[in-house]
This record gives sequence, C-alpha cells and structure tokens, in this order.
Amino acid sequence: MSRARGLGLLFGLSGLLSACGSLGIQRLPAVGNSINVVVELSSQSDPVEQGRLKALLEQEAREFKRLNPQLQVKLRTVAADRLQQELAFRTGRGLAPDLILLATSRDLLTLHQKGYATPVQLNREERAIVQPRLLASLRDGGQQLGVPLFMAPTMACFDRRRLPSPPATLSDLVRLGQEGSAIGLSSSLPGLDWILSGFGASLVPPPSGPSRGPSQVLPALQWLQHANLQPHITFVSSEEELRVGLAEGRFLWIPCPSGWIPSLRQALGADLGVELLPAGPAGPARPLMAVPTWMLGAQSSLAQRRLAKQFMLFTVNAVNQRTTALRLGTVLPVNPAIALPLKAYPILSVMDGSRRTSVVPSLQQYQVLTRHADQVVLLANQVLAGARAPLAVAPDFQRLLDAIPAAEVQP
Amino acid sequence: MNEIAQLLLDLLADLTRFGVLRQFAAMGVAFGLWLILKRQLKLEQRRWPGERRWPFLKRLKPLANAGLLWLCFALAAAWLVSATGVGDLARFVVRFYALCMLTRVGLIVLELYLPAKVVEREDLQLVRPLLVVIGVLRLYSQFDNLDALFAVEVIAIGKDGLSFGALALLVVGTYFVIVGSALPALALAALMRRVFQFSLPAYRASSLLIRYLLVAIGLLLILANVGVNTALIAAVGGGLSVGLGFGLKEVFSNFISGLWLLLEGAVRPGDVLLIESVNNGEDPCEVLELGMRATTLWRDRDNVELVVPNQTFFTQSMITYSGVRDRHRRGQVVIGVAYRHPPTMVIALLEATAHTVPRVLASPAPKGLLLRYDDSAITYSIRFWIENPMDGIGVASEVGIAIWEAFAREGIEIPYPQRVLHQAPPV
Repeated sequence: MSRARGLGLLFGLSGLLSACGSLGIQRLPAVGNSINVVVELSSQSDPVEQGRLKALLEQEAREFKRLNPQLQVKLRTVAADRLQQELAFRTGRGLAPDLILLATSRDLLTLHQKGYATPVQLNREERAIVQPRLLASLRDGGQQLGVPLFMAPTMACFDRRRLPSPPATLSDLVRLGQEGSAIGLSSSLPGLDWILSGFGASLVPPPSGPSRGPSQVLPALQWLQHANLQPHITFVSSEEELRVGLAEGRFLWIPCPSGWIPSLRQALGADLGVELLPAGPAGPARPLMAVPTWMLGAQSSLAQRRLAKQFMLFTVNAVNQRTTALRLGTVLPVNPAIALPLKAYPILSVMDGSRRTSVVPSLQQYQVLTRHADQVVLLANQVLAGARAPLAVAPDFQRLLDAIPAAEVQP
Repeated sequence: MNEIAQLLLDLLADLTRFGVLRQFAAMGVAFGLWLILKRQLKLEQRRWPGERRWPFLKRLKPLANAGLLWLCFALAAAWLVSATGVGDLARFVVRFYALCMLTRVGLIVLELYLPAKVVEREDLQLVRPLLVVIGVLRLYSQFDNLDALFAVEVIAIGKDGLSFGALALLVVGTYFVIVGSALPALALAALMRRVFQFSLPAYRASSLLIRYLLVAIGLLLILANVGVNTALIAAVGGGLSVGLGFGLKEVFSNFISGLWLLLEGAVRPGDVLLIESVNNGEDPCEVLELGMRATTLWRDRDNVELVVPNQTFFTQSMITYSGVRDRHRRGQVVIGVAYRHPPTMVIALLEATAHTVPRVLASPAPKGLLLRYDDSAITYSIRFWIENPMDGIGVASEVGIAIWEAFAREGIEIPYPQRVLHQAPPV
C-alpha cells in the first residue's frame, strides 16, 4: 500500500470517528459487547399489543443498558411467518441473534433441532425465579431450551352492552346462538382445542387424567356440527376476523387471547366484558396458553451468551415481571415471587382464573401438535361443513389424538 | 440523523461478530492467494490456447485476473461453508463479484455494436456507479433490514417528513434516470429510424426527444414514489418562478428554445448551418449536439467547436442546408474571359469542365452564365451543385483549377485588367 493510500485510510478512519463523536456516539462497539435480540410477532396478536410489547422490551433494554453501560442491545421484530427464514438468513451469514423471544414455545424444539438455539444453563437461584412447571415445559432431554417471559391466557371477550350475561357453558353458548346473539368461533387449532377440552377430548392430554376415547371425541364433534348449524354462530378460519368482528359489532361474543384486550378496549371502551371460556360437560375449558419464551441463539461468543442470558433473566426478575404485568395488563408473570393485586384489576383476575385451567403443552407435544395441526383442522372443517358425519370422522380424529404424547404441564 | 447513526453503529457491531470476521479473514486470505497467483501466472500477458482461432478470446484477456480473483473467492467461500456451515457473506461477495465481471463481459460485447466512446461513457457514468449503489445496498441488506434504513426520517418539512429512502431515491434515482436514459433512448430512436426511415438528423433529434421524455417520466415516477405533496411542489414552483424572473431566465429560455427547435426540427444534430464569419463571409458548420442550454457546432475550416446558446437560433434567422427539401448546396466560380472568345463557346466549356469534377453533382447539371461586360473581360459564372454542404470551398477550388487547366488547353485568355490611354495631340 502506498503512503498516500495509507494516509487516506487514516484520514478516513479519523473522519468516521469524529463523525460518530459529533453525532453523540461516544463509544464504538467492541467485539462481544453487543447483543442482537429478535422478537417474534405473533400473527394472532393485534398491532396495538405488538407496539406495546416492543415499547416494553425497548424500555427494559434501556434499563439493562443503564446497568451495563458498555453494552449495546439491538432489538428487532420479525413476523412469526418469517422467523425461520430470518434465522436461516442470519445464521448463514454468521449474524444469528443472541436472544430470540418466541411468541409461544410451539416451535422451540424445532428451532433447536435446526441448530438455531442453544440450551440455557441455569443454576438453582436462577431457576427459582421462574415457575418450575413452566420451566419444565421448556425442557428436552434434560436440557433447558428456553425461559418463559410471561403467560398470555385465552378468555372470552364480549360486548357487555348487548350481551349482559356471557355463557357459562357450551350449552349456553349454543342457546345464545339460537336466541340471535352473534357468536364468533375459530376453526384454528387453539380455537378448536378449548371446545374439545370441555368434552374431555383436549388435544393435549393431562398426565394422569382419563384417556380420551370415542365417548369424549364423538360428543365434541357433534357439538361442533350442532353449533355450526345455528344461524348466529359463525366459525371463521382467521383469528383476526374474530377480533375485528367483535370490535365492529358483527359478533357479541368471541374467545380471545389476552393480547387482544387493548385494541378491543379501544373499540368497545367500558362495554368490553372479559370472562372465562364456557365449560363443557366434562369440566372447565382448558385452553392452550401462549407462553412467550426466550431462546438463546447459536452463534454467540461466550461473552455475548453471558450478556444475553443476563438480559433474559433481567426481564423475568420480580421487579420487571410485576411492572410488565401491571403496565401491559394483558399478561401474567412467570416469576412465582409476585402476587398481583387481583382485586384491583378485574381483568387480571379473570386472566388468573383462566391460567388455572389453561394448558401449556410440552415442547414434544407442541411439535407433534404442529405436525398434525392441518389434519386436525381439516377433520374439524369436514364436520363443520357437513361433508362428513361426526361418527365417520371420530375414528380418524381419535387416531390423531392418540399420536399426541401425554406430557402436559399444568401451571 | 441519530437513527441513521444508530443503524450504522449496529452495522459496525455486526461487523465485529466472530462469524463475520472469520468470513472477512477467509476473503482476505483468498485475496492474498490471488496476488501471488497473479504474479506467477501472468494470465493477461501470456498467449492463450486457441487465441488465434477465436479472436474474441483476446477481448476477454483483460478479465483474466478478475476471473482468477473470483475463483479464489469462490473457493474460499466453498471451503468456509463446508468447514463451518457459515459462509453466506462470502458467497455474497462471490456473487457480487460475478455480477461485476458479467457487466464487464457485457460491455465488451457492447463494444462490438456501439462506438467505444459511447461504451466508455456508459461504463463510467452508468454501470460503475450503479454497481457501487447495488453493492452498498446489497451489502447493507446482508446485515440489516434495508426497509428500516429507508424508513428513517432525515428531513422534516412541516407535518411531512422525508425519509432516507425517499431522499436517496430523489438524489440517486434522478442521477440514474438522467444518465441511464441515454442508451434506451438511442435504441428506441434506432428502432424508429428503421421503421420510419428517418434521416440522420431526424434520428438524432428523435433520440434526444425520447431521452427528454424518458427523463420526464422517470422524474415524475420518482416524485410520485417519494410522495411529494402538491403543496410542496407548488412551493418549489413558486420559488422557481421567482428564480426564473431573475437569474434563471436565460437558462430556462435556452432550454425551452432547445426543446422547441427539436420539436420543430429547425435545428437538429447533423444539420449544416451557415454562420457568419468574422470577415463577413459565411462558414458552414455542422450541428454536433443540441444540449439543454446550448448547441455545439463544428466548423471544419479550423476544426473548432462553437457553443451557441439555443435561443440564438430561436430568435434569429439562419441559413440551413438540411431543411425540408434536401441537403444539396449550390456553389459557383466567377471568372473573367477575354472579349475575343465567343460566349457560347466559353459557357459550353465551363459547363463541360465542371462536369469533370468528381464531387460536382451531374443533376442538377452545372450551369454557365454570362454575368456582365466588364472593363477588360466578360465575366462568366459557372454554378454547380454539391452533395455535402460542408464541402463548398473545397469543391469550388477544384472547379477553379479544372477551369484554369481547360482554358490553358483551349487557349482561352483570362485577361489582366487593361486600360488604354490616349494622349491628346500637342496644341
């Protein structure tokens, strides 16, 4: 390199440094003191909730940086349907994120098997800040693959002004439909599961409960068929339709994940009612609960992994968990040390009630569920569309249920 | 601006990741290997097998070292992927370098069909800047989301803001629309010339008009894409009108004059005009280029290029040899012949002599004329037609020489001025 070139390079570098200084950037990143965090945005959550979640995480990142001034935390969001593509893209370039927040733990095992995740090493103190059952649901082969951030249960949302008393049972729900109240239901996997669970035919079997035989499956399928015959009960394939339908007044009652509450409250105001999902003949509804989960990336240096784990545990410490739960009002903490003021927050109280009956599938169950999801929905749609009788579909449905292992975790 | 700085800082942080540094290191090693191989192999200097049989191989020789570098990069990337599973940045370098090489090949092919000067201009003004822009954007997109960078607001104008993407599109897009429209305009004009049998000046004018049209469409599309609101355009227009009233008046006047001349076809590239020379004579000049502000003319007499403001042609009358009818120019040579020679004989000789000059057109035929009876000679004129108006002086000289030779051969006298003095008888 000639002297002129060398001088040019030197001037260029000094110019870059002085430009950074003039822009208020005091410290350039050094190797290992920056972590990339990717947040998966669920297709089910509404834009208002997504914005609130992102703002919350940015706030927590700022707080964390305040405690670790040397650190850079780069936060980016990715739509759920693009997550794997994004991870593959970045991993191929040596830029895999250090920390990933999954909207649910559904794909965690698959991501780990594809080499995008690294198990988390937690000592006893670290394990103590997360509910043991939730931690257990994120284990595979003795390895802790993820750490839950919070819980987002599913409930029933309704227009209190036009529907003063929500249905307590599935029979009430059908009766309301018969009486002319517009009910919206989903034919997606989570939308079907809570209905099936009311008949004891939950997709995720309890570890020690009664086995799900034809006596549970057939009535559940018959109920689906019967409900769909009611002119005011509508099964939709997109969860989005339910949320928008209630907000615009097309439905009076829908099942809703807790993340929908902010936007529904914007639309309905004080008329928004939140209640537990109706019970079935076999007991209360046991909906699948979304548990946003942290996962460590696979390409981090030791220092980056340590920082990523620190940030992960920072978000689940008692102070942040309590602040998150109260500020968002749509999630429940995973830290067992926190007792929320449930009496002062009625919606949190309902959410807590739903939590008690909700189901968090294990990673293995989620993987099998994901594999059979299309088939489950197809069979249910055949019944709903009247293409096949429940009696004809029941054996096929039973076979799918039998394929799902019984390793459920009750939070 | 702080957001841009933050994004750049994030990019810098990504560059320091181990997986990225390893790929850069591998590329560096590949580059070092290439330096050694280049020195050893001397691919561009040595004779290639089949070089005589396939001459096009010679044209590809300057790319030999670049090809070798690409091969080194490709091998390094393949090794990285097989050894570590991580090498997509290295692959990106390989792919981008292949694109650069392909453009080089494309330019070499283009040189077979277009003048080297045009290809060189397109290379320097269009291809290289385009590759730089593509390279920078694609490289950034390897690290971060380009949409996020483009969405950053850099200028706030009232309630509206201008994003980085919009600003980049305005600046870079405008440049590439102006520069990149030249070749498509030429191609379209060539197509039109073939279909409508345009003359050369019409072809050149049409290419310029098409280019202006492409630029106008491109700029409108850019403005529409950027989403410049009408209030802003009105404000800019208002400011522009004030500017036009003062300093920009002449510039705008020349631009509009140029457009009008093109549309009218009065002055087109390739036309020949007569321009008054310093000594009150007239010089034929060829129109080389009708620019936005001025027209460039070429005067063959002294090989100078004259830059004349467009509005000169718009406001003043001028003589053109490439108007509606044809490009033929009439020249003449005036000569005096002694009184003793019969005019009919002289005129016939003049016409026959002019016919013998190769660059004098046979039709319309040269015409000899008796102009007047002067003091010492009868003045004749031989008028003839030539094809290229730029050749007027040269052909007139050839005709004059031919006449001298013919007169010498036929014994015809070109008299000197004579004056007869009569002396009065002494008183």
